[in-house]
Amino acid sequence: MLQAFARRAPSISVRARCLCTKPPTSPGPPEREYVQPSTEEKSALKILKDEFRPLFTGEAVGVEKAVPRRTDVLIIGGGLVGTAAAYFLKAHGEMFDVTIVERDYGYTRASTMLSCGGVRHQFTIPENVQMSMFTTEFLKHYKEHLTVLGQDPPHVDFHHQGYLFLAPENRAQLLLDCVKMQRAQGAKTVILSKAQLAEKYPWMNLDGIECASYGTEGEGWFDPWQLVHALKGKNIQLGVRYCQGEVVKFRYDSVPLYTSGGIAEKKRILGVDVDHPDGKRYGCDAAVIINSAGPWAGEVARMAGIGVDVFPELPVEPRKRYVYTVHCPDGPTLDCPFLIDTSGAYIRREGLGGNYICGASPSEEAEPSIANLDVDYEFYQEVVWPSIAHRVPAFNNSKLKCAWAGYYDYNTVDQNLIIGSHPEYRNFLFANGMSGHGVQQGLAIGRALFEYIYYSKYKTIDLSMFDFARFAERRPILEQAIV
Amino acid sequence: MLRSEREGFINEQRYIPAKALQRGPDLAAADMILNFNGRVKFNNDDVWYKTYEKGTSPLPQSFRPDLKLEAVDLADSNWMLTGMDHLHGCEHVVFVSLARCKYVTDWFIAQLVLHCPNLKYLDVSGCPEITDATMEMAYKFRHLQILNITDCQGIKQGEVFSVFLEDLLPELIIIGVDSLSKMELPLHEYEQQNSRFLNLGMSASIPEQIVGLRSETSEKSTVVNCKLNMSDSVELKVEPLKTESVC
Repeated sequence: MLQAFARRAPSISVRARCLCTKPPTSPGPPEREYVQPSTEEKSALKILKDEFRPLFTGEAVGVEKAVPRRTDVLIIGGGLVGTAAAYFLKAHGEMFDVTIVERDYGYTRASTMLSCGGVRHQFTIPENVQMSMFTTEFLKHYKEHLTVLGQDPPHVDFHHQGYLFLAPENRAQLLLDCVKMQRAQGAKTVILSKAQLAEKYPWMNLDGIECASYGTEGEGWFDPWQLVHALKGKNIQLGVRYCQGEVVKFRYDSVPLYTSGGIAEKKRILGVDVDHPDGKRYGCDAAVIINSAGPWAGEVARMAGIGVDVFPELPVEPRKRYVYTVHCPDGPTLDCPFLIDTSGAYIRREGLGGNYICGASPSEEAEPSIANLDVDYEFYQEVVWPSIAHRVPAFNNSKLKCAWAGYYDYNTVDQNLIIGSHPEYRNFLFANGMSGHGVQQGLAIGRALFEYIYYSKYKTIDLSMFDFARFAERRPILEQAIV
Repeated sequence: MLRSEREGFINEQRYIPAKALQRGPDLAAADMILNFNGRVKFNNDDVWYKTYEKGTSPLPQSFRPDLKLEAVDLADSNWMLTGMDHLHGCEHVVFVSLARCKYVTDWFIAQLVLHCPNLKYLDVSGCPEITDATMEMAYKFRHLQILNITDCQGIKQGEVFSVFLEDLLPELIIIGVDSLSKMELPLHEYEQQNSRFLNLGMSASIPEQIVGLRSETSEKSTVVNCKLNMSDSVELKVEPLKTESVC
């Protein structure tokens, strides 16, 4: 009844507009042709016309639309988290109809492709440790998981080197407690005393260091680009639909809510509108929408009204981080771990030709602007190089070769994962805010999302403490070991 | 390989801590290895133990504190990653042969590093899935004397790694590696081409003054040193070690 009235309403206003003497408004951006999603009504005549149009226009018969009119699970963002979620949804729960919407197939600004690809088990929260350990387990057997039609997936080149966290005297006790917790979770981390460090790493300057924690098994670095490609190949074989487009709008449905104060309106997310490069805007309805847009998750959430109509907002914003490639002819060779200095600077070896990759996180006041991905070389001069040259004296004789910048999807409240459904829009799921650990935790997050959708609860790793409601309840979970 | 077959092996090779507690880690590991057509040697004599033809096992059934597992021969077997858990607690193992095992990957060697740090002889010849990461990890065996990587198709930079390994472990002999003069490209060019991380950044836009500060570095990096060392080559006679004990 209501829908019939809504259909007639535009025609009344068109006639009214003809009678008005208002001057026409200036033309805005060119209107995109809108392709109706499945909830809008289509008359029988229109359906028949759509069926027979290919015959008259000469197109191939039965061409599926670029963006489907309806799908079960819509994943916004095709980075590691989104691809992993689609993989687990299709591999373990085959009945889902999964669509991934990614606006840039070249992944020029995607955090996954621009990250250093490190995996470590050394976190301060047990669930974070368990998530990284799952990533290691998956990579151990990833050939079996991701083989497509008997062909091996591309090598992820896992280097089993281990992370070395250095600690000064005032943080030594904290490090000991952390290692105890990590070992209880099953991670194989050990504490190295100053004497052991001097023996194992003679090229390191141990000024001010009391002890260090080292991951002996399962830690290292790999190439996340290859992993995403392997996952994508497997996804396509499993039947996941990839669509290129940008989500521009969310569509809602209102149901009346009978409260003691009267009849209120409860909004429900029906689906999204996606702008496709072919010039059309497609409406797509979905039962579940997963927000895995990485650094731009806050924007997507605002489009959905989170932060605009309902509060609180999603506190995720992009933060730019620089990574520098350095050449040092006398640097440590095979025994160079992924070194994390007390100042927060990190360095790891890349290949055997004397190249190293290093960087550091800037302090809160000195956050660089996120307008573009230009690199600030002054930051290397002032912050990164002094720390590294102090710790590894061989780097006094080094040369900066090149650098790149990428975005962290930074959770401004507590730098930890946000996962689960929104309290009001129950079919809108978050998978955001990993603040630099997305590559390590992406596979575990994908599996957790699959469990949340399929079983309505987390079965293997309990991530219910990372829900969105903790911001309203003022319950932040601080991770102290971020790099 | 059929997935069910592989899963069958993984299931059979599962580590059961109760068995290790009952018979001791050495005998429990030896039991599992013998089940999969392997051979083991202990520290008391020079005999390779194998399952008898009728299927019974020659090993003692109860815990023997004097018997320590020293050598493991798993050539041509279907050893899986779960099977490596059995070597937990067998620190006296000095000889491991995983030749021509089709499921062996670098993760096996990572487990070996964890469980058997006193390894002296490692043989991974003919394993198709072993890559350069194995060579990277080999330095962690401080007493390693012989590393056999003949016919490993996954190892692309074996020669270069051999040079670094021989620097770190002076007693090491690497079997199966040709001399470095066979490399067509210098090392830094090969890596520049093949590493995605080295190609991510734009090097053209580094301001001149920053480059100038570090200009003491000459362009002759370690690559040239590698090439110079290779005049006395690492060509070795390929001599498979027989059953003389290596300890």
